[in-house]
Amino acid sequence: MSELIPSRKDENYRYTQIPLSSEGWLSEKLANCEATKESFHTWTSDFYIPALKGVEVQKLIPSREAQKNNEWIFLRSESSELKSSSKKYRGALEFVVPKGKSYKVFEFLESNAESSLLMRSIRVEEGAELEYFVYQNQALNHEFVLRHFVDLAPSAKANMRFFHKGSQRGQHRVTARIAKDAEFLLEGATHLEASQHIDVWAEMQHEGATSLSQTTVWNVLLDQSSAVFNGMIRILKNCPQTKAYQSNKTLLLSEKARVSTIPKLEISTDDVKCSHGASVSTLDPDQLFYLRSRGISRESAQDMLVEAFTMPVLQHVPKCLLSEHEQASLGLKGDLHVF
Amino acid sequence: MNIFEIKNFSVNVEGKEIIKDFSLSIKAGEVHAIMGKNGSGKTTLSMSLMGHPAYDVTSGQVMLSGEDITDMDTEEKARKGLFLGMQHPVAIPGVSVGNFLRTALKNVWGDKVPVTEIRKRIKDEAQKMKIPSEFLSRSLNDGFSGGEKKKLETLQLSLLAPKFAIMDETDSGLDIDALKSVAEKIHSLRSPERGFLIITHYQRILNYVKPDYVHVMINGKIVKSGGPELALVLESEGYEGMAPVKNEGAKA
Repeated sequence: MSELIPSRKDENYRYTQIPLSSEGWLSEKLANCEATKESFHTWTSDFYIPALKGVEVQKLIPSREAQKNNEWIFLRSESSELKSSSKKYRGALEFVVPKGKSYKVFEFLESNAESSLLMRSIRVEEGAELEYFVYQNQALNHEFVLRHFVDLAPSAKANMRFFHKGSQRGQHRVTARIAKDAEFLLEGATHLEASQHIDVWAEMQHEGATSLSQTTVWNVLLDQSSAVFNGMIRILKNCPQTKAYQSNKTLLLSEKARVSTIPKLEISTDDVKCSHGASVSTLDPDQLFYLRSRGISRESAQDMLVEAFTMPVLQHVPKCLLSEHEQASLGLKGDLHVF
Repeated sequence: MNIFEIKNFSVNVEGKEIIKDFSLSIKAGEVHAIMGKNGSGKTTLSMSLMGHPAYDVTSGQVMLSGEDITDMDTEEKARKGLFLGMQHPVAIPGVSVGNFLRTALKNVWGDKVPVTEIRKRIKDEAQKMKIPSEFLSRSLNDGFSGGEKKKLETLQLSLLAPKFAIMDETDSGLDIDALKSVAEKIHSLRSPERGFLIITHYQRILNYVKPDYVHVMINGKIVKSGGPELALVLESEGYEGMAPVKNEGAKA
């Protein structure tokens, strides 16, 4: 197994706070692993897939009624697969959005487990559409690895959004394979404080012509929190007219907070449009002044601006699925589109 | 009684003195206009009176209804009844107009007024000003036209009902119709208890909000004061004739 454990020499792991040593958290999960679970739809050489050995892969099949009304499918951790007495939880989920269909999935991760290793494999068939939101609000001592494999068939579309607020540390890795004319939008945000750390990996592999991917990740970092954005755009041969963009924007609200942005491009076709960018900023004094000049206290004004920063993601939370209490505890008070 | 008094007020920006020993007293019910060309210090004056951190007040005193507000935080000045209608209201994507107005009114009015009442007042006032309700769901000043921005500033003026309002170049960026509608709204908010300071380049807005006094500002100081007729003189003769202007940088 030792060759499966990454090293700090690997660019992708140079800045992470996630321990990589044999005593570390990931390798602990690997300790009992022997072989890749072949039935699970994934790429080879994935170093922690073996950790899922023995885990039953759940299938997600929405009810006919839900499909008809295009309702949200709600994956709620305490009521579904994460309802486990195990303090170290492992789970795998697999589903297919059939040709021409449209699914909306909300994955709400909140539990008292110590750690979780969650694999999701999603296939969006030709012309099908997926809207997916992951809200992670695990306990503050939680550690997680969360992987989404998204396989987009020709002309498929997926909008995937995530928001990470909880956990001590974790790695969220989104890997997409994008076929001809398919479109993948990935928008995510982290809001971290104390010594929280989150790695976000966004790997977009374009495998067909005129495909599109657009990735934007917003980080709000307070105290000594830290984040890594690991972006990869890979365009294979014979994918002309492909467009791929990635961007990482960070609001650093403390001198000790830290972000590491690692954007990468591997392009094997000439006729493509690609871009990557990163920005790091603090709160805008003119925006703060404007709010305060209307009587809003400095603290409230700061909260409003912080919330506004991640609003491009937060505004898509299907709040109708959460109780008022949950909404309040998540701080979902700004209602951009409701008055 | 003076509703607003500025006494020997001096302001530095990045170490350079822009407002120099500026004094002005305004009685309740009065409208004063400050006119001046670009770079005369008008916006520095208004921003520093409200307490923008980039403007360094080096001396002087500002009184609102007899209370010294010079060293108060910006939000405290607003709660005491000072309002600044800004020349370039900043865009804040992700904060909706409705959420912003609710939060502002809650902060100014405290818990006395229930949230439902706050919502109602915002809706009613917006309706009166013919502002569509979708407007309240948009991000604050984000992608707004010049007219929309100034209309929103005026809506805030109307809702917050301050004791004293400084309107900094409210007429800039407005077409004739928008200017008329915004200016008439400001005029309708005149009252014996409230004072206004209208800051402008042009005389146009003063056709609708008729000032009691007009002051000409050059190089951070008032160089001439008079009645409303002074605005007309300026309109025809320009600022050049407003002597004496001591150009400190031009000494041989």
